[in-house]
Amino acid sequence: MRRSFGSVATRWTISMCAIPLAAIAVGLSAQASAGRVVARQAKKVYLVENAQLRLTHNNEYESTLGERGQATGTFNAPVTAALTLSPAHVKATFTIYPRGGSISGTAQANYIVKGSTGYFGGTLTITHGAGAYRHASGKNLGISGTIDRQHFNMSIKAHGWAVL
Amino acid sequence: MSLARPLALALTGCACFASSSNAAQSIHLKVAFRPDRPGARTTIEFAFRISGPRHTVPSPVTSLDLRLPAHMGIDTTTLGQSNCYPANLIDGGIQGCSANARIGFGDATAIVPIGSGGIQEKASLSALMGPPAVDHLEVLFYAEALFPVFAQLVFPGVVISDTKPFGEQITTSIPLVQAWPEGPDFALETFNSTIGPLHLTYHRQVSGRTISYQPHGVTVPRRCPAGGYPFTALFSFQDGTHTTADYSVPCHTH
Repeated sequence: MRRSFGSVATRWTISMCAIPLAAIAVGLSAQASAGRVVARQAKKVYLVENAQLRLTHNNEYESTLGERGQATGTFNAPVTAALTLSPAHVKATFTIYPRGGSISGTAQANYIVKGSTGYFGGTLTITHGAGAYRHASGKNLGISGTIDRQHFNMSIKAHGWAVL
Repeated sequence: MSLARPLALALTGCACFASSSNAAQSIHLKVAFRPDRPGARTTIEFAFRISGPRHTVPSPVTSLDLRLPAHMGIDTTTLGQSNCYPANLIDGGIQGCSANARIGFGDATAIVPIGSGGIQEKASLSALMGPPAVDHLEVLFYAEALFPVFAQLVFPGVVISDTKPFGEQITTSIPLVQAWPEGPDFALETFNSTIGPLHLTYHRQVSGRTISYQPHGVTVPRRCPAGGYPFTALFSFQDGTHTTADYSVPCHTH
């Protein structure tokens, strides 16, 4: 079941700057474009991504927060995430939806509350992709950000090398 | 501001009474949700009563570990929008900290053992969000006793993750306090506290105006565990004994 926080508005901004490396070929993926599937070579890129997320719901286990927002940077794309908060840690699963596919992963971070703001910092893992990004992978990307404890809006920055 | 507000626990007759693990001290623990409705933001009300063997004065409590049900942590609440530091409480009383730091309130009684009986001391109690900490949340319990002995005490509590069927645990150290120099220690007899928005008002600035609002408390999980929402309290006493008390808030059947 879902539970709304009412007028809660959470903004998640992710900006990612992709720095293509010397095209380290890891595999081929298919990119859907104009109704065609186009062969696409996976590349190692350096992501610098910012996102603003807003709370959309609590799930039936109310300790998990559902968030949605827009990423900017390497991808300008919608992002969804589910966060589980505990006294000192935050765990998250996320999916970003760039054109032609999706990229999903997990994140773990330390979490500290200072007044009305929670701060987190940790690492992100890209676990899988779909469509044009089905070969997406990456480990130990850095992630940091803040959680507005009034509305559970989030600001997130992610950066690091990934294969896309 | 006086904190001596009575904590009227509306404990709906639950048969799930506390259990004690040894005969040295016995504990009665009761817990209630207000409101008690799955999916609702609620206030948790705790009530402990400690009795000594054969109704004698109990040994002073030195620590209290309270385990909360899974998915009822305070991390996803809006309680504690400000941090409170122990020194501010000692210096300025409850007004030494922002009202936005308060996460609950209650009262406590202690016994000063004299002869075969004792004198009862009453104190008001406030629960506040403590200083930021790296690996846990910190909760401060501030007790202010006015009669017959004036005393201010801060009990620091640490909130950490727990194992299922629990979600979080609040571990609170309770210092030994002598009633007078070279006198006996106070022996905690009752401890009643809330964690939640009941009777709390926070303030925030919006476009230059001060807005009053009530924070969100923990949510009563919609999925009730078999046997109810479990709470457990572990008390440690000065005489070296430990006593555990369990209580389950019953599930709604309708």
